[in-house]
Amino acid sequence: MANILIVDDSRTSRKILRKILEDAGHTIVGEGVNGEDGYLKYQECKPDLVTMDITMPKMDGIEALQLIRKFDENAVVIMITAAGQKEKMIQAVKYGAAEFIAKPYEAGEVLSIIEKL
Amino acid sequence: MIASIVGNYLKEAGLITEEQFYDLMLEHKRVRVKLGLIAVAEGLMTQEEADRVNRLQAVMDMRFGDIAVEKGYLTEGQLETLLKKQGNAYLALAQALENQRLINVSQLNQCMVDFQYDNHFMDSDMEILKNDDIEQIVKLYLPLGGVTYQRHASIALRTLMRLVDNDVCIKRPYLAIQCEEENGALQCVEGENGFTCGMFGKGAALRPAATVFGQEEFEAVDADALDAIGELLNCINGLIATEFSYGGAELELCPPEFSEEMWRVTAKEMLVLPLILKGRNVDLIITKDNSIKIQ
Repeated sequence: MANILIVDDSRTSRKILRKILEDAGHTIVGEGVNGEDGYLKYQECKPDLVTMDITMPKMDGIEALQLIRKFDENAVVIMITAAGQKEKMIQAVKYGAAEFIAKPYEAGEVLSIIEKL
Repeated sequence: MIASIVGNYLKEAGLITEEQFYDLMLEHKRVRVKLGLIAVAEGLMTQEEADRVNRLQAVMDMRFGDIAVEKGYLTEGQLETLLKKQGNAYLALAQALENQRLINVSQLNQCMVDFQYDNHFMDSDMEILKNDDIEQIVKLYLPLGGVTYQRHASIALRTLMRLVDNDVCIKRPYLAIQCEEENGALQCVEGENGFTCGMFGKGAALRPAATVFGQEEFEAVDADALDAIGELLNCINGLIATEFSYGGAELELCPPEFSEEMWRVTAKEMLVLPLILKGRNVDLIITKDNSIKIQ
């Protein structure tokens, strides 16, 4: 079971993902409400894994991914995407994203991706 | 969608009550079994394959049968056979109305004559409606504004049917340069072929949709409920952006915005598409650019 940090500006999205992960026995060690907050929380919580929404105000998920991977080159960051974010996904791969999860969340899909890592 | 369009017409005409409408929609679903269930029952697909197709439907703007064929679970011929077994949605509605002892077929036929007259539909339009193809129904309701609005609206409606309300009902849309809306969320998608899509509702109209999508019982349309509506728009707009990306367009989804106050929305042109979503009147607003302004 993993210690997970959820970074997403949407409360709805954080809440649904938290429930899926906690029901499967994972521990949510923190939540970030934008990229900058997520980066700061990463340094505090040192999670096993981060779920990072791409589209966020203030600092988006791509920028936060770069900062986190610069801080910890072994950081495991899963990017959360809506469909239609092909360019952003290419950037995320370039900056070391471990995997992608598409919204809306489907519990089976989310857990199988996390278990793979 | 034909069932919800006719069902809502009967309700508005005072021929059935709201409670009877909901019972009718349930009975219609019972009479018209889902394609995946028939495929599994016929031994053409496994339950796992059907579940996988259902999951994919949430992130792909494709029908169950089309995904199943694309994934190699069904052949075109098998799909055709299954669709025949599933039957016609309009006839299933007629059967559901009879089963619920609401109106008989001859009364339904008379209602459909009135419906056609009220909506200025031709005989060929009524055939399109009865065939229950969302894309064709959207074209029927949206002759104005061209294919871009039709494409956006088709994707939005199919996504709403999958994620929120299978019985969403489309009403007559109109083009506007400004409108006043209350409680809503919108999201701009920037880039070539950029667009904006928003959803608004008076009072607590968005509450049922927020509750279903947000998986939480909201007591009012507050910031949390509107956040759920914003996320719903994010899913819709992501699928629209995917459609455009096939043509090489690069689009960037901006974070959704929402407000619990009165919005004065202006744009060079916007399509206002009234819907009945989870039994409430809501407006879906689509612009073909990012000229939308909110005061």
